[in-house]
Amino acid sequence: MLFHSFQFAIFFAVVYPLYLGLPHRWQNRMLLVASYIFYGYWDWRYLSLIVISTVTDYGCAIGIERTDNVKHRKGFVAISVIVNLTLLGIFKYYDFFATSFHEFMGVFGLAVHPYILSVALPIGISFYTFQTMSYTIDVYRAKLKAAHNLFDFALYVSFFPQLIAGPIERGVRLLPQILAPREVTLEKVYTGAYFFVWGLFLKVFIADNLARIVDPVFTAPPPYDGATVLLAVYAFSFQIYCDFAGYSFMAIGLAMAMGITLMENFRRPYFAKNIGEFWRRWHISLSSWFRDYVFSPFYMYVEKNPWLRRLPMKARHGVAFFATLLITEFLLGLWHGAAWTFAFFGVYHALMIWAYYQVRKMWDRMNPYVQIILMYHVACGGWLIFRANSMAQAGEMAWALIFDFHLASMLDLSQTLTKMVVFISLLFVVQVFQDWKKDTTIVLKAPAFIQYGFFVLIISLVVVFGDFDERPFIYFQF
Amino acid sequence: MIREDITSKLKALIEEQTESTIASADQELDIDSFTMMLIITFVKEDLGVELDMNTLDFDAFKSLNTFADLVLKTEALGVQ
Repeated sequence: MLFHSFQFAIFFAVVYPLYLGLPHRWQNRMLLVASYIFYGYWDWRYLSLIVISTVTDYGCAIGIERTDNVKHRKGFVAISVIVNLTLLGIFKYYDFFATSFHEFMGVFGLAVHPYILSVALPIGISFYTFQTMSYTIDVYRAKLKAAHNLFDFALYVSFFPQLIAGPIERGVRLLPQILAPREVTLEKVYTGAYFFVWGLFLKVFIADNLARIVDPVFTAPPPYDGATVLLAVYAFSFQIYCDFAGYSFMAIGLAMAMGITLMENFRRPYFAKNIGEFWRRWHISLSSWFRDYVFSPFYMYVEKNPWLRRLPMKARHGVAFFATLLITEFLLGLWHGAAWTFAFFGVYHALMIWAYYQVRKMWDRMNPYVQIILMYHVACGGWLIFRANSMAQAGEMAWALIFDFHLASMLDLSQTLTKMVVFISLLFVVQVFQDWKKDTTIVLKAPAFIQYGFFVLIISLVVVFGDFDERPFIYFQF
Repeated sequence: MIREDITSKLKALIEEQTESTIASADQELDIDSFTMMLIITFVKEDLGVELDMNTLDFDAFKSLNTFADLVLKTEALGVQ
């Protein structure tokens, strides 16, 4: 059930009035049932995985709270991590690693035939397993008390606006909002409507229309023309941003209309001046998740290495940082999907971060606009790997970009380029103001006639030019 | 350990690392993870305080003062 589908419109038209009319306790029960219906609409069998993850982490957190024994507490964290990663491993990664193993052994002339599961990927599994694991770890770290009502906790795991594609909410933020009565004000409904319509505009008007430029290029066989590849990568950079940020904004809007504030997941990432800043603006809930639960603990572990202890402080820090970074980014890349392109996407970013720190002093002295433009192209390099169907295709396209690039081809593509500029121009104007004032809701602070004009414009663009083919969100596959 | 000692040492480290100027101990800092980890290593090495990664709140890196609060609190708890 996509947010921009007719089915969802009916679903929400039933759920929302019910929500407004019920007392807090029954609101939570109703939302839980609604969230399970929302998820089960795709494939009801996979609800069992959500239930397994929910019950496991509910029990583990209570177990952690009830004992002071460090070994037992760690044991409960281990159970949570093992169960969730096993679910992910079986349903998302098993076939990929089995096939890769088969291919790897084939290189040495050895024939192995691992069993292939061939199961469909349960939608949103990477999001809700990460959310439940963070909850248990936070209870272990004493940042949060364990939830004692299973139904309330189940709602935290499965709250339908963010169940499928995030933001990956921490228990510290979301659980208190579920446990306490919520206030729905006219202002929250209006702001929620703004976020939803803005997200819808990003998805249906920009992302889905840009997909029509991107898809033919990446499905075509080689050889590739550099100019065509360049335009396709530019288009994809906005497609993936508008697709994913669009979903996040819609989720934030729906939740806000119910009195629940979800975290900001995208903060105009293409305005970043360097790659570190890019990751503080792109998919914030995931990058902060990896920072808190993978990168930081692992850094401390590596930094304590006896061999590294012999190095001076700054050298030790540098080695520990980049070793940790490489592994973290590799895992972060693989989180996106079971394919080597995603893993290399992560490694590419690790290398770019490393490169940035090598030239940091020079880079930071450059004109800020030059930094933004260069950083955008660094991000595009990653998107080429990310979107390619294989590493071979990524390599061929990169080759075409460098060695088969003809400016004359750009002129032939001027119509496509114009289309692209039209699609993203309004986004660009709005984001310039948002970034200037550092406020995503800047439109709502403008005079009333500007606000209404804005709503009329983007709704008209969505209705008239929107692509309602119900193209799934890219991040659903993760 | 006194607060001023911590903030002045951290100020020098961050300014050298980021080539920026920190006007006051309450100024909001925009620190990347590279500098964050360097600060954690520095605090352990130079100030003898090992921060507990299990309880570390990254909001503590908001300003020199908020980070000094964390160091003093950790030191008082004896987590070293």
